[in-house]
Amino acid sequence: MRVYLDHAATTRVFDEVAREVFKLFTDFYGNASSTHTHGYEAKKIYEEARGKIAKHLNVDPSEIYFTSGGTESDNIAICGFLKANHPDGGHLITTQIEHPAVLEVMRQLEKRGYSVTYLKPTPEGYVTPDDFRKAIKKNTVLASIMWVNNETGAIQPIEEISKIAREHGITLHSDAVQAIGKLKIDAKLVDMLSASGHKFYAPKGCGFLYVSKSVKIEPIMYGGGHEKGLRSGTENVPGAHGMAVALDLIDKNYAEWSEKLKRFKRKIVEVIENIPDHHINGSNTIFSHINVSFKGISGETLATALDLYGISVSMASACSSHHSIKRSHVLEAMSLEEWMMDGAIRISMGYDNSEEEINFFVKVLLEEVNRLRKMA
Amino acid sequence: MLKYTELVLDHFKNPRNLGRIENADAEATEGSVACGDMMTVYLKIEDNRIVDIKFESYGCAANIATASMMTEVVKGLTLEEAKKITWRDIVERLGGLPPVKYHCSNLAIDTLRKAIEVYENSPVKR
Repeated sequence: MRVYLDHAATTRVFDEVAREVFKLFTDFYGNASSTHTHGYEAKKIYEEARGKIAKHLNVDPSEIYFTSGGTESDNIAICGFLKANHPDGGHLITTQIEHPAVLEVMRQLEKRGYSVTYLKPTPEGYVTPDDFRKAIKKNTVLASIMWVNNETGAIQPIEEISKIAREHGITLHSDAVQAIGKLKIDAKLVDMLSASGHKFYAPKGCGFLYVSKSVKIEPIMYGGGHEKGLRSGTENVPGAHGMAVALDLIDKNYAEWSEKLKRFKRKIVEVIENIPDHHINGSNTIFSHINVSFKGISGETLATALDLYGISVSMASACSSHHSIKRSHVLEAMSLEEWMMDGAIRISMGYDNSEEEINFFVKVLLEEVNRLRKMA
Repeated sequence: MLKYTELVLDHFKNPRNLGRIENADAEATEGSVACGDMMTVYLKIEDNRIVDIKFESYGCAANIATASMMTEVVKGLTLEEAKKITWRDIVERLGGLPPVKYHCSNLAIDTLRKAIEVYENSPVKR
């Protein structure tokens, strides 16, 4: 049996999404910017997709911009906002646990003269509204706070941070790549929001950025002026349609699917709780994620052992004594003990996992943890 | 997952000579939990020949696999022959290791050599 438990890395495209997307390659392949019927057909599907995604987020369709994914959305949001409003510098707030798609942008901005505060999370893996408030300076112009952390699944206090940001007139962006399709979120809490299709059962290479009408933004890439000039490049109609169909399916089945994953998570956690010397990394975590360490077993060893049974989980870091493999910056920021950082594996479930798969996984997990510990 | 050979994975999944030897003629522990890898080697020696060897490991897949292979290679060798076995011999027998895992393969040989040293320096020999 092969069990895929790395949905935070990417997901299997839903069958229905794949079928729908296929039609766009073969039947509705026109360029959405063309003025003939082929183009018009594609454009119609493209704009319908925008409408559906906007509806899912409860925002206006004109506020949704299609991009190539999370990284591009983050770059456009942060750099495009600063370019339009604060080209000469200013203070930015983000977290130490962001995805590199935000962290690396911030580091580049520091080189260009912006100052950045990187909020440290609690050992539980989330930043606090209080720390956010304390980080605010007179010249703070933008904050970028992820909605859900990709490694631990810890949900960040966006609602409270949003209130504080609004009080101070700070524009708020959120990398919601791990939240879209899993959490029912209120996008209007933030001014800009990034999402990536392949994290919610749509194809790779597509994503979107929500930009509130109230935010002034400039492109960071130039060309044919697609997406109202914010993101030039021929419209990815299959990607946009795939995302819309995937979110539709999730909306329709949300109650059942989210309950199922919550049940699976309880089952896995119950098994883990009975294994001595473990640590679940992060709290207030999303129902799909479990990040756990077992004392005495490196994450790489356990992930390798599970892989031999066809089970795919990811590891946060490998081989503590060798620095050519880096530790997780997220777990490090949480100031966890060494064994917790080196032992961490991330189990990330998806709506397509079955009870049988989870039962197999917990059985193998228990056996392998015992086996690897017995060697010592 | 790092790219391991089939043989490495086989030794990781089914380590040979795993466990301890009661009344071993020599034993040694090298590495540390802090550095991530630690192992103990037990030797049973007759007429300067390794007649039995077992190991316990607290380590990664590469560490377990190299220790397992090492025990297979040196079992039956004289102490002089065993001392000449290098980490490269073991890694080659395993069909290679990812470069970041080279240091893990050193530990198996280091611990073996230490155990032999312990034996050679002990006043009572059988």
